[in-house]
Amino acid sequence: MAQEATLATLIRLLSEHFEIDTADLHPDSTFDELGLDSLAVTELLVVTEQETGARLSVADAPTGTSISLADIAWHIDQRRGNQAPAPTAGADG
Amino acid sequence: MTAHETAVTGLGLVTAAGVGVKATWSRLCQGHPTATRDPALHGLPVDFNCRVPETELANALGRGLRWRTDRFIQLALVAAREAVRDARLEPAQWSGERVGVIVGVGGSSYDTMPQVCAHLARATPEIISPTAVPRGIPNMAAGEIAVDLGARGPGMSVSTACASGATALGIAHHLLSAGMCDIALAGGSDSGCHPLTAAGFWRLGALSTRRHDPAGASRPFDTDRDGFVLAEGAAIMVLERAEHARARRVHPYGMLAGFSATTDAHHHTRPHPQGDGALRALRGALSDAGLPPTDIDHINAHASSTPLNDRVEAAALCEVFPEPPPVTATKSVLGHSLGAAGAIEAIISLMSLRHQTIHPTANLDTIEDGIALDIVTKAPRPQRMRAVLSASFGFGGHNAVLVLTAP
Repeated sequence: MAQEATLATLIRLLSEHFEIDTADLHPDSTFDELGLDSLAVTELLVVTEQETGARLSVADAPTGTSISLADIAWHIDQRRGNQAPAPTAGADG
Repeated sequence: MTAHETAVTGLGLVTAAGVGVKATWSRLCQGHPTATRDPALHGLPVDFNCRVPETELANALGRGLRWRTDRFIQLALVAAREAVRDARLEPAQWSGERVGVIVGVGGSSYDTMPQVCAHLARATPEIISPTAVPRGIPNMAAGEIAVDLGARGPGMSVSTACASGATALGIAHHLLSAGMCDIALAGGSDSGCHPLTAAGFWRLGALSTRRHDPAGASRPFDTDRDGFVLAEGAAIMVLERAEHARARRVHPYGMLAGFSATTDAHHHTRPHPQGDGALRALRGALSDAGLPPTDIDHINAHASSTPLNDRVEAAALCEVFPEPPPVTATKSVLGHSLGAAGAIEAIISLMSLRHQTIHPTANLDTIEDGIALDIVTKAPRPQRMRAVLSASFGFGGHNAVLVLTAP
């Protein structure tokens, strides 16, 4: 998945799951700016992993709230590049 | 006897009839049951319940909370906000350390448990949501209200199963009396609409299985009743000592004049056959209020619509009240909201006092033989009232009775 598509997925998940207005979601938006704490960062990674199959919920996952959406998207793409093709995403609810 | 009088100065309510006290009072006066088939329960032996309207709840709650809070927390927040506004309190200006939050929560919250269990079963605990614990533990209704409104005094949940909402109000009354806080946001919140809850209570034999007629399923005191109908809701009151309300120049809805909590210590789910615990709680609340039975003008019964409860409760009421005042059963319209029920019914008792009107009990076609009570049916009944008694009886034999009086 190219970074733009990954970013689009993140924006959609933030909008649907966290009920954040898409008008407030930009690549350089940080979690601090969005009013989301470290619990929310973990939640986003869990939800993104469930959606995409990319293994994100592991030891080297980003945790700080000063990171931006673009940072997270980059991290997701790195994870996807470093692993075997993901199993079918979204198998469980 | 209580050292200080407790005034009720604000009310907040969310039920299957809608958001806001007016919506529920209006629906009760219409006598129009809220039970309907629930798609989320499709395929289960009991597939109907009383759900809070989704859009109304979302609009009242606002955005950004549902990802990390179970329904009982969402309902509690909406009710607490309404109560505080209604009491003309301004959280930005109050002394937060003197504001307590006491919320009755009777049922376990299961909203995301099926997904959590699936991840455990697949040995993928790392994709369990980090919200799994904080979104559902019972104290979080009080915790989230405290964050939302800035209440830094004593905060807790109270649990006595179906009596939780009433017990919470009684505990809040005593915390105020003891001077541990000056304002108490108190009541109950619960959502009994999850498939796990429905399956569990069905297996216990507690639920009505009147699938062909959900609206008619909650029929307290009726000869055809066969169990209760699960519901969800939240009711929060603002309580303060009478002199505190006077100093703020707010006119109370009424006084929380008496409270009694007792335990049957008989069986884990069945009430004492002679209603021992219920009798002591009824008499205890009257004594606490300093009122003889003849001074009670109306009884809002627990009346869950189970064969056993309604029969035992009716007998207990007849024993304590030689000539029982008119009775009504709020659960006939709103269903059984578990931990919220006692608080919802306390609010309805106050509305009855304010309007000098008793709402009708729905679905009472044939009162069971042997139940010698005057139950208001068909239409709201105007009634001069100064004191109302509200009773709640829970699994585990936990009983809580409140006496509410006109201001």
